[in-house]
Amino acid sequence: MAEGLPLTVRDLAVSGERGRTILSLASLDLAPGTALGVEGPSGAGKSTLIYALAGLATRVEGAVTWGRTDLLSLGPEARARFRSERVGLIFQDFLLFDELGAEANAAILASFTPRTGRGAIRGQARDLLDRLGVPRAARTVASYSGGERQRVAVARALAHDPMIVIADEPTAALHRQAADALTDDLLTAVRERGRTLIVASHDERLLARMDRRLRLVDGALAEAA
Amino acid sequence: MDWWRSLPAGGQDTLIVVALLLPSLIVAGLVLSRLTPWPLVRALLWRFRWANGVFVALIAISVGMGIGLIAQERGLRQGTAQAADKFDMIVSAPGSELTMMLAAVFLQPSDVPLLDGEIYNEVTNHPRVDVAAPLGFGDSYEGAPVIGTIADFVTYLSDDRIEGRMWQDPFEAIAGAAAPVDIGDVFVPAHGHGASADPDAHSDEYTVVGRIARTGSPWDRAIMVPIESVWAVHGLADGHAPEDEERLGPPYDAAYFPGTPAIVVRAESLPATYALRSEFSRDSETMAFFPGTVLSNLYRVMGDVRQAMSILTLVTQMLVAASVLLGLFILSRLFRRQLALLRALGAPARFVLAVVWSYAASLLVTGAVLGLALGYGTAAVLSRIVTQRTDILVQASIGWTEIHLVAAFLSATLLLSLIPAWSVLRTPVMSALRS
Repeated sequence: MAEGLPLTVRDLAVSGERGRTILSLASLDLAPGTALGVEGPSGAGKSTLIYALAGLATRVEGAVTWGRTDLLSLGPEARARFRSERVGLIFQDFLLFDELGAEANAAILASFTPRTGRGAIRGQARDLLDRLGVPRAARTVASYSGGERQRVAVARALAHDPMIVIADEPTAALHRQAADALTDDLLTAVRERGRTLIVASHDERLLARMDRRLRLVDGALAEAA
Repeated sequence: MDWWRSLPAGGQDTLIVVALLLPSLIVAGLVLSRLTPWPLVRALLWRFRWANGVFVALIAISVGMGIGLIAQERGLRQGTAQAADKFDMIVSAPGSELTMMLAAVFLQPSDVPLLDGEIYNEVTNHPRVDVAAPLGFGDSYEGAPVIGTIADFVTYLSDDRIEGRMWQDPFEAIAGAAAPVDIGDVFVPAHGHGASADPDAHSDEYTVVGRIARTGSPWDRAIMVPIESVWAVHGLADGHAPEDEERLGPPYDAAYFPGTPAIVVRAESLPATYALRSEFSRDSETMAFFPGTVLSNLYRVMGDVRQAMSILTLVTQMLVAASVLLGLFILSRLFRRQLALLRALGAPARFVLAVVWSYAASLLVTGAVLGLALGYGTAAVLSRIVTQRTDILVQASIGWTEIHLVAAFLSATLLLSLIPAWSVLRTPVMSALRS
């Protein structure tokens, strides 16, 4: 079983296209298995922060260290490999391949990870879809409801058994009931394996269930809740 | 080099194709090894199926046009050469070889001076001559030329593939494979050709008694009759002395020989053909020439046109390649978000490259293969039209030149499509994800 990874952030600064600093964070430490909610008004830098923690930000300075991996010192290819092994990502508008079925979407990592792990990813994807109650019909995900689509996205994020799950407004595109159901599913999946979860969200019901909350205003830490 | 020359022609051509495609195959190996981009490529192909369809159609049409033109030009050359195949040598009065060839081989007669009986007899009695056929033009029936000649020539022209029987009477006729008459039909020829033909000038009826197999030349539309009857219908002597009136075919009596515009000569051998040509090339008396040589001179003149056409085709292909490149840039914009997603999920750059490149390759290969088919189809339709109009049997075929052209086009565009694929990788993931 994979070990949880502690997160250490030091002097993180992300600048925008014109060189202006759009996010700065002096220090953040997160124990493995923590669920962290990042909140704040739109444009405060929530997404920027979580993408930076996933190694996806450009024009970034400082240190983002997961366990012994200093993510920002790695090149793009090594960061990508780190994500494909350790990180599961969930997006606001699902970002599924509409022309593929639920299984193919959930097991998409199997198309580029080393051959030996592909069977495990496909099997895990199937299990997750079953547990999340997503119909594994032959039809493409285009016909699925929003809640079902986001659960396919959750299955995709977890199919390679990552210890880090990063979600960008995972409930924003869902109606209340579906949002609550997804919150339950996501937290169950994260808790049972001791995964670290970092969520950027406006959704108070989701944020209320996090272990820690972090509020950003104008690209800087406002208060720790 | 000796090794190369020792290869059979097909082997060389195959190797050229392989050499042309090799760079793309190597790229394919490097880009695709150990990855399975196909489900995603299929998804992208399906998602943008209309744009993709238009793109493939554009490639197919432009490749097809180039291929079709080249194939058609070759078909025309082979067809005309084939049509002239039976006409080793022609002896006529001095003048234009081209005009005489058009008249004798392609049955496009024009007013030409006649050769007299003495010359005809000299040719036909030459020990090295197998067949020497006089030709009598001037009449037609329903647009088909009615041509007077001798039985031996009909036998030679058709390789003795005659359905029915040979004529035995001056007013019996043998139809070409595509002539508008059938065995048993009775017809009265009109004087002249085409619109100016006078249907009432003659009253003598011919009966069709035989039909020859297809020759692939304008002779297929002709109706062949004994030359004696052509002379007789026009009120001329019939080539035989009064006491030999019943005779059909040679020998002819020079004194009663009205003249022939051309003598088609078949010599006993190739060296004999050359010897006969010099023997019957006489200033102000006769000219002897090989229709095959006249045709190849014509092809040489047309060779410049062909070269111009090839360059045009090449330029067109280059323009198409450029627009393919531009199109791929635009198409790859359409799915930059999906590609950014893959990179966010941790796909290596090579995988994203593989997806875009396989997608481009699918469009290019489909377009090129369809283009090859379309080119063949175009050439086939054009060939049928030309064959119908001229009776020169033109057959469309896709030759190695076309395959090499398509292979070169494909290889170049496949390599070039790495550029848009690579440019996709340079878009920042975050901004693409949020777009």
